[in-house]
Amino acid sequence: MSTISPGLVWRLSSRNIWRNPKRSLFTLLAIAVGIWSALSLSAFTRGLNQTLVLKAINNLTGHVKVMHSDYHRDPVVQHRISMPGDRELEILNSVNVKKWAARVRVPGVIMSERESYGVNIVGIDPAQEVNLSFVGEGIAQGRELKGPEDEGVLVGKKMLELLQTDIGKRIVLMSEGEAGEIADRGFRIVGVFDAELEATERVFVFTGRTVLQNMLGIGDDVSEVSMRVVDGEQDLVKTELKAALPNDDVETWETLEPLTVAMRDVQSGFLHIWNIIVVVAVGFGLVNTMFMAIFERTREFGLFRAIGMRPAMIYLQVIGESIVLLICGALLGNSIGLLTVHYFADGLDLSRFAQGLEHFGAGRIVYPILRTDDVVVSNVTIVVLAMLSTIYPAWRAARLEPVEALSKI
Amino acid sequence: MSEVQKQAPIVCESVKRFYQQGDVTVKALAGVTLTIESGEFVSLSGPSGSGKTTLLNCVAGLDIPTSGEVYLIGNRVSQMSKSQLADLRLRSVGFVFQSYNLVPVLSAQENVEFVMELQGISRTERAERARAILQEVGLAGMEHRRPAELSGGQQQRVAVARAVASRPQLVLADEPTANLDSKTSGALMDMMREMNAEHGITFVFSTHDKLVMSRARRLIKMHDGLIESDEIQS
Ligand SMILES: Nc1ncnc2c1ncn2[C@@H]1O[C@H](COP(=O)(O)OP(=O)(O)OP(=O)(O)O)[C@@H](O)[C@H]1O
Ligand SMILES: [Mg+2]
Repeated sequence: MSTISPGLVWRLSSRNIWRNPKRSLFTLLAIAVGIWSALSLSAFTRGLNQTLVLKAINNLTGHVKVMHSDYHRDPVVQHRISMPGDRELEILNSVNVKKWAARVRVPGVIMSERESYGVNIVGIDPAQEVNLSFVGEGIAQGRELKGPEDEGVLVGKKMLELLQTDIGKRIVLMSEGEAGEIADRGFRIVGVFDAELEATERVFVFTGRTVLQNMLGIGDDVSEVSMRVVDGEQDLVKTELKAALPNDDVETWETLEPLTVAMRDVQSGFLHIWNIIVVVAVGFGLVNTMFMAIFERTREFGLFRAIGMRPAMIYLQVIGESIVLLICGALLGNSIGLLTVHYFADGLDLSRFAQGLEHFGAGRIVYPILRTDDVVVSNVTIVVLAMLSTIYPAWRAARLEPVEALSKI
Repeated sequence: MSEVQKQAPIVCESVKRFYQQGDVTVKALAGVTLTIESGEFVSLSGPSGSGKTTLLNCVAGLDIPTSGEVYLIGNRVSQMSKSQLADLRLRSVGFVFQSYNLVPVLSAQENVEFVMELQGISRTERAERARAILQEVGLAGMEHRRPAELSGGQQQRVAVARAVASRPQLVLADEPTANLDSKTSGALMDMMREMNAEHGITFVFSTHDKLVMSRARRLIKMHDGLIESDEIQS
C-alpha cells in the first residue's frame, strides 16, 4: 500500500533545492570548489613533478644507468665498464629503450690562463645525446661537438664567466689517468651551453668520447651507459640489464637522484595535505548545511510521518536533494578544473619565483598534467564525502518521532 | 465490550498516559474510556493541559499509552508495528493540526493530492478529486498557490480538504480553528459538518472555542486527564 512514490520524492527533493537558494548555492559551490581545487592542484603538482624528474633525468642521469659496481660510490676512472656488448645491445636496441648513450665521466680540473675549477669531464658521442640529455638539446653560442672524435670542448655559460675566457680560447683539462698518473691535455673551447640550473653550467665540461678515452688511456671503455625508456618499463629494463651484467651496477634514476625523489614526495605530500584540508572543509560545510536544512523542516517531517509517510521516503527525499546538488556541483567543478588546466596548457611561467624554485631543481615553466586517475580520485573523494555528510542527517530526519517533531515550534 | 463495538472508529479502554518530569509524574491521561461510533461529529474540550492533544495522539498511534487499550478502526493499536500504524493512518485517518499543516514547497492542489499520491491513486483521479474538493471548500482558482500565498483560514481549509480528499473513515483535528477569527472558524466548521453529513466521515476535533463546540453533535469535556462530561447536543 504505502510504498515509495518516486514522483512525489522527486518533486519534494527538487523543490526543496529552491526553498533556500542561498544554502543550495553554497552547497553546490562547496562541492565545485572542492573538485576544482583538487583537480587543478593535482595537475600543477604533477606538472611540477614532471619538470623536476625531467630535469634530473636530463642531467645525464636518464631513467636507467649501467655503471661499474663501485662507480656510484667512487666515480674514478678505474671504476669503468667496457662498451656495451652484443647481449646488452640487444636490450638497448629493444622497443623498451628509446635512447641510450655511452659516456666517459671522470672528476677533473679545468684550467684557463687565470683560473682553475673542479669539474666533471664528460666524453660523449653527441649523436647519442639527442633527446636523451640537455647537451643534446643544442647550445647557446659557438658550435656543437661533431662526433666522438671531436677535440673541441663545451663549457657552461657560468663556467666561461668563471674562467674569464671565451670561445676559441684554449684551456687545459686534467684528471687521473688509468694507472693513477696525471693525465692532461690542451683543448679549445668551441661552444657554450646554457642550462636552467647554474650548477649544471658549472659542473659539466664536454668533449668527444674517443678523445677523452685516449687522454685517460682506457681504450674503448666507458664510465656509464645511460638510457631513456618507454614509460613504465623502467624496472623491466633494469632487470633485463642486471641479468645480462651481473657484475655491474644497474640503477634507476630513483636511486641515483634521491634528492629529486624526496622533492617529488614532499610535493605530493603537500598536495595530499591540501586535499585533506579541502575535503574536511567541504565535508563540514555540507554536514552543517544539511543539518540546518533538516532542522528547519522538523515539523514538516513530523507531519509527513503523522500522515503515514514511510521513513524511507523522507530519507530518499533528503538524499535526492543533495544528489542533485552534488551532480551540479561536480559538473561545475570538473568544468572549471578542466578549463583551468586548459588555460595553462602552454605552461605556467614561474620565472618570477624561479630563483626560489631553482633550489628545488624545478624548471621555470610548469605544464599542468591532468591524469585520469587524479580526476577519478578527486571526484570519488568529494562525491563519497558529500554522500557521507548527507546520509547521517537524512537518517536523523527519517527517524524523527512524529509527535516530538510536530510539537517543535 | 462486544467485538462489534470494537469495530467503531475509536475505542479507548482505561487509557492512561503518564509523563515523567524529573520527580513528578504528570498524568496527562488518567484513565479514559470512550467509544466513538461511525459518523459522529465530536468536539473535545477542556482547559489547557487537560489532555486533549495527548488523547488524540494516543488514538492515532502517534503516542503510546502507559496502560489501557486503544482500538483504531477495529485495530488494537498496542499490537501494531510502527509501519503498520503508518499504513493504517495513511489509509483510514485524516489529520488537521493547529498549524503547520501544509508542505510549503507544494501548491494547494499538490497538498490536497499529497495523501492520495502516497496511497497510490492515479494522477488523473487525484487531480479530479483534489479540484472538486477545493471547489467544495471554496478555493476554486487558488489551486496553484503555495501555502505562503494563502491566508490562515484558506490554509486550514486546504488542510481539511487534504484530510478528507483521501476518503478516510476518521478525521482527527487538533484545534483546527485556533488561529482563525470567529467568522472563518464558523465557515470551516460548516464545511467539516458538510463533509460529515455528505461523506459520512467521522470527525473528532479538540477546541477551546465555545462557538465551535456549539456546532458539535457530541460534546466531550476533559479535566485533568479524565472525561468530565460527555453529552449529545440537540
Ligand atoms: N512530552 C511531554 N512531556 C511531559 N509532559 C507532557 C508532554 N506532553 C504533554 N505533557 C503534559 O501532559 C498534560 C496534557 O497535555 P496536552 O497537550 O494533552 O493538553 P491539551 O489539553 O492539549 O492542552 P492545550 O489545550 O493547551 O493544547 C499537560 O500537563 C502537559 O504539560
Ligand atoms: Mg493541545
